[in-house]
Amino acid sequence: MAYAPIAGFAGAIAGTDSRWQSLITNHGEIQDTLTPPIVDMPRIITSTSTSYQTRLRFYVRRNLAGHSVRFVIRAAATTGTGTLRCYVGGNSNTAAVSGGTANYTIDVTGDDDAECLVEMKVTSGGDSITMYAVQAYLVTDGAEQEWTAVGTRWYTATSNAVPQRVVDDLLNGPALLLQDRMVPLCYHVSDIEQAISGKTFEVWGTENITTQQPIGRLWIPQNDSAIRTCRIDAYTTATGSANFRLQVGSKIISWSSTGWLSTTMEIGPGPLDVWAYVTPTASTNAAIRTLQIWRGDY
Amino acid sequence: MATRIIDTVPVDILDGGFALPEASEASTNLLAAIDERQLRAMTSAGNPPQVRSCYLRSTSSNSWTIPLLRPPGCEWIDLAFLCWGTGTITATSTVDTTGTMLDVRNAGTAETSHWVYTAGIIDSAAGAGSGRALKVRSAIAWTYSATSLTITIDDVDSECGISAIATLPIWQPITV
Repeated sequence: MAYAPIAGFAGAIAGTDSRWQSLITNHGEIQDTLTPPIVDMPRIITSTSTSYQTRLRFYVRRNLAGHSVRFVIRAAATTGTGTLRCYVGGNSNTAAVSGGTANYTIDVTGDDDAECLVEMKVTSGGDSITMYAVQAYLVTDGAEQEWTAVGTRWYTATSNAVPQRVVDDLLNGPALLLQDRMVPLCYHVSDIEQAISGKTFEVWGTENITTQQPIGRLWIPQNDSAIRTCRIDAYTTATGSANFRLQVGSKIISWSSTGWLSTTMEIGPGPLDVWAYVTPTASTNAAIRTLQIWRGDY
Repeated sequence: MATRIIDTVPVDILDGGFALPEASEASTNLLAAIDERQLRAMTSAGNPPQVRSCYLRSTSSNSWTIPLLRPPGCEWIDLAFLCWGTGTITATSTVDTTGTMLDVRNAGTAETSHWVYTAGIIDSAAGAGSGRALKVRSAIAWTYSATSLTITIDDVDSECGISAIATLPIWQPITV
């Protein structure tokens, strides 16, 4: 008796099945749609400077190839006019501010794993503009690093079963997108230029207090069922030497350098209190101007 | 029509790494697995709760408009405020103008702030004083959309302030 292949046992489904069409369409739609915010916060900052000043700085921990970051800034010109300028890495774009409170949308082409800046200036001496809130999120318009598109030919061109490689792409697509588009679990993004006097909870800073002070609090609600390695980005300033300390649940990191600190911490599953402490030396000041705790490690 | 439950703690899909045995073909059980991962990515796994610092302080009555990017599949959100002083905090949205109100009774400074939380979906007809969740969409939609919340501090005794705001999407069963 000659060998004769037999029909599959697994109940294979032909590629022309309409349910494949729905899943493959959704696979692409999720890649287009999934854009959770990087920051989405109230922050009241007034500018009277005729030169650009960097007022906010934060990271976008994502693969930005082929994407833009959209900044939506709620602002008003109290007197005269002014300009908002947003940076993503080395790329920037501007919006002119005039009149009463309105939302200004600024799209900036992506730059991989980049620092974002929000800058403000007024047009003439005596002018004044105020920013009330900032929202930033990804605008998708390109391929992902590892995510793979699944073409429509798999449900239009063949009545054979959909092969394993295509099913793998569909199964793992959501996880690859989530890993690529990291979201912050909690964040503090405050005015870089604001002066510090005494203890300042607005920008998480202290002046001339040489004992360790709690200057900021956040919270991580339950978001996972297990411990996860999370990236932490913190931007600090100091006029002298200072110590900074971050406590997430029972875990603590301490550092003394200013500028950006980027590290990781095992966090989870929550809920967890987040405490920030600053210890400047005498007659100096120090602050944690930015803190972002990301779900995952890019 | 079917009812679908959205898992609020979806660690498995975030970790991924699913691979089929070599030379397998697509079978019916895989349709459901793919579909479940796609739904979770668009909802709870892709849009975890977010907590951000702020500094909204009032000695009388003040309102602030804050942005909110509504995630897909989300109609209601719970709110939590890290706050100090004595007063009331009312949050309203464009589709929930009654809103929700929380009492703050924590005389002190920003250093001694405490969290106050809304209490989930009690009843859509419940008044603002019930401290219920806030409705942010009139019906389920499957895209992100920008809206704004209005936060009002009122009935202040000396001083009342908010130093952080948490937004926690509520994932209800959906009908598809």
